[in-house]
Amino acid sequence: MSEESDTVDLIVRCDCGFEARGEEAELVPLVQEHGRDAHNMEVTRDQVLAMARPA
Amino acid sequence: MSGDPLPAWTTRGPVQAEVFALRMHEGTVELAGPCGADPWYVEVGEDEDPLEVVSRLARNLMGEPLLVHSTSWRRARGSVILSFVLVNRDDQAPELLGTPIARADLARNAATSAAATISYQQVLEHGLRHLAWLVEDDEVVRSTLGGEWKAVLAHYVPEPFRHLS
Repeated sequence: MSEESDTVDLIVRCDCGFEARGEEAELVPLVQEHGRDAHNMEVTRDQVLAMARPA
Repeated sequence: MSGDPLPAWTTRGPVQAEVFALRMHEGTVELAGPCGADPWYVEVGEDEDPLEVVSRLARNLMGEPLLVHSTSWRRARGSVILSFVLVNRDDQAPELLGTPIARADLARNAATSAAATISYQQVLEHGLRHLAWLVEDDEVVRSTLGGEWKAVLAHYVPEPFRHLS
């Protein structure tokens, strides 16, 4: 595997239409912020990554 | 994998708030919340007050609402869904797209038939009927809503808070 596998862009979609994409380090806090601010949800890093797919 | 559909992440929990964020636009009521033309779902923690949660999130995302009222409850989405109407000012959160709402029939179960699926349009219809009730019954609501709102609500048969099934 190349080094690119550590920096693959991921995408997460919320039921409300919100989408976030980026590398894990930027994606996770974006999704957590959306969950908290828009839906009163506390989402763990693992939960975010479980929903994420390669962009 | 390329062929796999992207799953949509959704709210969960024993209690969820379903919020219809409404705004008046040129004499027509619009659904204009954070989820666009769809209801906005919010998780409610076991120690949280649903009204406080909805009001706080709305304030942070769209500015202080004019009015927030619960209108009905039902079982759906694996939860108890507590539905709210939230009224914003006409010029509030202009960045949020508004979609005019339409009237809907309220399906009522027959005595011996199973409950039909309730659409969010029917929940919203009841929500506005309850708002019409509140305009008559609640001095705060009556003094908060302007003439355009009262003109629209005059076309709705007033109904109390209900369990929708």
